[in-house]
Amino acid sequence: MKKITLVLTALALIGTSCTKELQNGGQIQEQHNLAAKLVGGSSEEAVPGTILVRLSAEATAEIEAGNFNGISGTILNGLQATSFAPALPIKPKNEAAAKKYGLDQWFIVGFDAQTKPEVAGEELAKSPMVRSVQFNKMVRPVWSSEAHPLDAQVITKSTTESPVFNDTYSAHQWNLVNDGTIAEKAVAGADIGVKDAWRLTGGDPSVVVAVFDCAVYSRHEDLEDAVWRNEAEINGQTDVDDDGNGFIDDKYGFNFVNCFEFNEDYINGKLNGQKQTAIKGRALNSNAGTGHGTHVAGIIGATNNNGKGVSSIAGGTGNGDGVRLMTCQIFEGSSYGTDAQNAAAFIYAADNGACIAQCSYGNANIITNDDLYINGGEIDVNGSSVKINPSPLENAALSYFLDPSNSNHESLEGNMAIFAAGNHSNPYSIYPGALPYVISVTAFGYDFLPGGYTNYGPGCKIAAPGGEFGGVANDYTSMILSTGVSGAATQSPGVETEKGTSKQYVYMQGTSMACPHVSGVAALGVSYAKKLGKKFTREEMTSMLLTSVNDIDQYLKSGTKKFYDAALKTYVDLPLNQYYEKMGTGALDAWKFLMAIEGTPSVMAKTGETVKIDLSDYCNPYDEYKISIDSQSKTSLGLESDPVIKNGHLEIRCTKIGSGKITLSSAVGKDKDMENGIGEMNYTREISVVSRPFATNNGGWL
Amino acid sequence: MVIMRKLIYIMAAVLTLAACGKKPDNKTELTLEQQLCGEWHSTSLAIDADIYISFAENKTFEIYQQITEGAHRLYRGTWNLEGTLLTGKYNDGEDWAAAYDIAIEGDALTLTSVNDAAEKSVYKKTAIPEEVKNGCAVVVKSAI
Repeated sequence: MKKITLVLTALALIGTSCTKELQNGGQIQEQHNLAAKLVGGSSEEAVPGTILVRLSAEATAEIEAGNFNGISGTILNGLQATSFAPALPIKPKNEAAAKKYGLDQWFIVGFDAQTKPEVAGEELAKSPMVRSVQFNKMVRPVWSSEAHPLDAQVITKSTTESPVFNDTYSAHQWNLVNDGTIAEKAVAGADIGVKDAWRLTGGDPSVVVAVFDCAVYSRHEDLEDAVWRNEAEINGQTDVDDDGNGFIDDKYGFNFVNCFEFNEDYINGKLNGQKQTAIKGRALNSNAGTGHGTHVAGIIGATNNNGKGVSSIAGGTGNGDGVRLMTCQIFEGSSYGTDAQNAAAFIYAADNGACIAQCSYGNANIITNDDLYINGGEIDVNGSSVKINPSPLENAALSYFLDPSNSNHESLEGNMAIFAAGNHSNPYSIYPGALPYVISVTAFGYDFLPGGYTNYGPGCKIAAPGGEFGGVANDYTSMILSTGVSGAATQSPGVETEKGTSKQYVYMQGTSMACPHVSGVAALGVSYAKKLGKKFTREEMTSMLLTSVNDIDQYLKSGTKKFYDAALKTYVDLPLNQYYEKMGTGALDAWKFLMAIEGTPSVMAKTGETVKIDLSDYCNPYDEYKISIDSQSKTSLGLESDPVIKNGHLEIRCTKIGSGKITLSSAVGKDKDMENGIGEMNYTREISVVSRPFATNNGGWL
Repeated sequence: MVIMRKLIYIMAAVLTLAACGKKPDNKTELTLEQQLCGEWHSTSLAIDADIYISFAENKTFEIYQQITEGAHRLYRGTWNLEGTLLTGKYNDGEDWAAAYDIAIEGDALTLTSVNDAAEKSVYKKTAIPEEVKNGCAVVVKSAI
């Protein structure tokens, strides 16, 4: 009796302190009901029988102190709960970072699937210890229509430039090297400029890219040497967590889809709150669906120069020197991971060595600002109120992955996350890609024009090849060729080559394909930084990436493009100016990125004259920049007025022989038409100006 | 035996004198163009930079330059010397920004711009280190 009294007293104190804290913070009196605590609106996408709750810090501390039954008993009072357990089944390795983002405060409640989530949420919200309630919705892939197998018999066009690597089909990969000959409308240079970059590096096995998608087919002939390998599990025992990382049999990654439900001992446990020492998921399944994850992975790191299949961005040079691809399976056919499972995937990637998260998925909801993504709410769409399901737990786990204390590569402080902008033809990026601390990628075709499906506008950061079906049967050359799986072939028309084998190669299109181009180039950059013995913060690396672009807006000022609408089976005209200045900073260029990593570029200015310096090698000079230059540099160069950028050129007049550094600052992704809309990502570029009595245009010394 | 020893001393002295005497003769025989051929490293420049230049007998040059970049940049082209006036053209077709009056003293090469005498740079005859050549990025703008 005495014990129960003590517990109740403690609970009362927790409730009191919670309210007091809010009052001290000048906020409104806390309301203990669902309307006040629900971070999200509609339960339509919620997984039946589960709901997520975030507890107060005090309640979490009580649980950690051992008072699980007291806390859970109070919270679950009035609800016929079947389970109550931490939302993340495995304790994150970095406990400090987990606490920093409140990951320890999230719990998942199980209840009768017949009970509506709103009813369960209402009961849970009554507790002062429940800080917020979130429907446990599923995340969505950015599906890229269907996959079309490569038919080497039919395709006769190819790039005329000699491929760098001896991979069988590399000549069909205009996205890597496009000399404009693959089709009549193709534009030379509408690629990622990686050909020269490969002379500097082809990747590095120390760079691990986590692919959040369907599983990567680990036995594909062009991927088997590129997949991340957990040797302890590969050489260990079945059903045993051989490496002690909390995940059983995670040989090449982990399948998070339904993994909690699969672990009934955990989810339907004894309401004891104890985290398992290890969880077991279903086997990785690359065959369900279109082979989306395998295709994405092949763009990043299919093995180069092995005389097989395709070339990739960071697949090495044929010496086992490509980057490694870790599967974080969050989709399996028509089954998608929930917020909680997706969050667990980010923890897994962070705790097991990935430094880049490749994420061709997003929330299909109309989310117009960061707060809606994190906290939810309602927005007006064509006169109707639409409830937004937010993703605070996913955001917390993403933040954990990005935290500098979880850096997983010696040359990168803070991991990077790269997302697809979405294939809804909407004038804004989907989330999480639209967040200001991750990169969202739009898509263009071999003519440098936006794919008709691509999202654009606020939230979008950079453009990359995504391809676009031209509407001609059995001619998919305008799409992106990469590795595939047999599941894809079952959906595909046309003549098939090596269907259902490990030799399958397929065409796909979408921002899902554009996204791994940026992930691959980022991986190439980290590899090159390591080679040079350099280290950059995520912000520095991102700034270099966003300025290593070619101007795409020159093609978007006027006119229309034909877009083949697969649903209507006809062509529609799209006005190009709707994309103007809305595709991100420009079209990704790997060579410029590696040059930026190598060091600050220097440009020559003739002393005593106003000179116009072309900046296109160092950034998209047509973006808006604020120019800053320190006093020491001004003095060294003898600047009597600040330099300006006009028509893509830096105009500067130096009166003295000397050198100095100028910094170009800009931002991308901001919704300029909406107050408190989608936030911006800031980036900078540093350039060194050398003033001499004479100067060459090509930068040569003499 | 004593005579033999004296003979050896005399022969050694003659050989020594002959060697000493030949050196200045060789030097005077080298033309300015011959002296220019070789590899040079900057020792005195108007701005902070690291420059290696190689002049080959076939009238081609290579410049390995590092100003603020992380690695040296390689530029190639052809050179010509008339009297003491050195001119050149990059492989992308662009002429050097200036012509230079050159002077070579011992292992020091001085290039003075004919456009502006203030632009004077001094180089020392030095083999280009392999790490500079190997670490050099491909030619950026000036075609190979």
